[in-house]
Amino acid sequence: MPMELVRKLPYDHPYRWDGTLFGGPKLWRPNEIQTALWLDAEDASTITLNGSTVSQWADKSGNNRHFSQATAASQPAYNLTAFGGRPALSFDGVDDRLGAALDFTATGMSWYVVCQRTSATPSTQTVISSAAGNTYLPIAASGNSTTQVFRINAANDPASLSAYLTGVMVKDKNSTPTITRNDIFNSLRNAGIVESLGCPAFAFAPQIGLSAGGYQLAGLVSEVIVSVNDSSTVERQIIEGYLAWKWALEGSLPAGHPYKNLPPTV
Amino acid sequence: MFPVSRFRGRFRTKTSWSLWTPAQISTSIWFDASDAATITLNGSTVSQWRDKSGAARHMSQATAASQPTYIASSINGRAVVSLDGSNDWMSGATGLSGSSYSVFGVLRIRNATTAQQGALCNDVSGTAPSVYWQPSSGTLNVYNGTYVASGTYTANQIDMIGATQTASTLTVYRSGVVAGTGGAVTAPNNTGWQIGRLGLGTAPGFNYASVDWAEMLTLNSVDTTTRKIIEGYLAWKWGGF
Repeated sequence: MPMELVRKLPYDHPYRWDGTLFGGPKLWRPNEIQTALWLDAEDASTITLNGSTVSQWADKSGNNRHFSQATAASQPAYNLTAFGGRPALSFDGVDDRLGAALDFTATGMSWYVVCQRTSATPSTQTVISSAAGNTYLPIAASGNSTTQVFRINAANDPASLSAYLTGVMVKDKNSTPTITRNDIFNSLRNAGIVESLGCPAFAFAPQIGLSAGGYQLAGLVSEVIVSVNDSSTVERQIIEGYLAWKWALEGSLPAGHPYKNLPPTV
Repeated sequence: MFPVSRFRGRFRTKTSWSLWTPAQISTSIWFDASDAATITLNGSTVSQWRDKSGAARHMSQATAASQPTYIASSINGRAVVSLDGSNDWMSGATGLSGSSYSVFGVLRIRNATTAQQGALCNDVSGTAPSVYWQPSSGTLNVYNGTYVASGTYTANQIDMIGATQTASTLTVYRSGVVAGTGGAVTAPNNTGWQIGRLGLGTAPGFNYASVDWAEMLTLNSVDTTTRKIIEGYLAWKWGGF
């Protein structure tokens, strides 16, 4: 299988991302584009530990949108192997969360998250939310409410507690958001699954793991990427390919995806 | 070799640009299953696997029934030398000397059985170094006088193993990550290598391995920079694209 040994190399190994010395390619990474936020659990240098829990997850975008949690009891755990043998931050489904400053003011942006529930309860779980409670990206949502902007119907939630990519693309604050999961947006959209309740201005203090409505995440988050605009199809597929091959989720990409068989390169 | 269109990486030498290979360092042995020119076939089985180190420490097997099979397209689409776990093995000279050495290889042990399986071993009982699968722990181990486990090994897993032995420490790597360390040192026995079985020769037997060997090389020492280049070379060749 392609990449089977390369992606096992340590994150900071000099040939983890660049095989040109040996006739291979240089792998595409998010630093090839302008990002608003980039959190990467595989990069241990961005993780500040308080014992075994995480007090800060540093932003690699260059914007210093570091996510932090000062209260020890609410800090997620850092697990080097939880996500299919790969690193992840593990949220307890009770009160674990990380927050960042209020400065996401763009009206268009695209979020990509590699995540996985580890428990079916609570039935509604939030990965990214607004501390004000008006915006969140749920992994699983069995209910609906006027404060809920994005929802994936229960029938289309992962039936099992499987790992997957999820993405939300906000073209502008009043448009219908585009939701992808392993690039199955087209089928979701065509089936009329995407919910549109109006998208508030994306100026909020984001937090990971808990929404103001109390929908705690009992699960894992391994990487979060926010691009500064609504992604083009090409950019979205590149980011999906990068994330899928990095986190061994390429099998979940649909047939015909340009990075179904090989990761993106530069 | 990689397709010409993908020859984008270059390593500068005095006379030309070329891709990095172990030919640019001093190896004690270097076996590369993807280089068909180094394989002597007896039908579909391998009677000799020639050393590319330049020292002519070839491995061979004269008995047809004990010759491994050559599989032209296997790991990452490249050829492997496949030993059957029943009676296949090959042997050759080690070329190691002193108490410092390093071993690198890409392999796949196909079956999890109840017996030890010797992937790459010295051919004298109880002598170092050896790489083998240990059923009691399910680990891939390296022996240097004591047994150093390198973490769980799952059958059919393609793996890159590395071991560096200095005067005081054996460090075992799995895909570039430190997976185990040991302190005891047994100077390598230089009577010879064998692949496909442990060199015990006593009950319960030779501990044959059902293993596919892609590539292996040994050096009489290695520094960190060279180790990482070797890891990068093996990872991209056998587990990149």
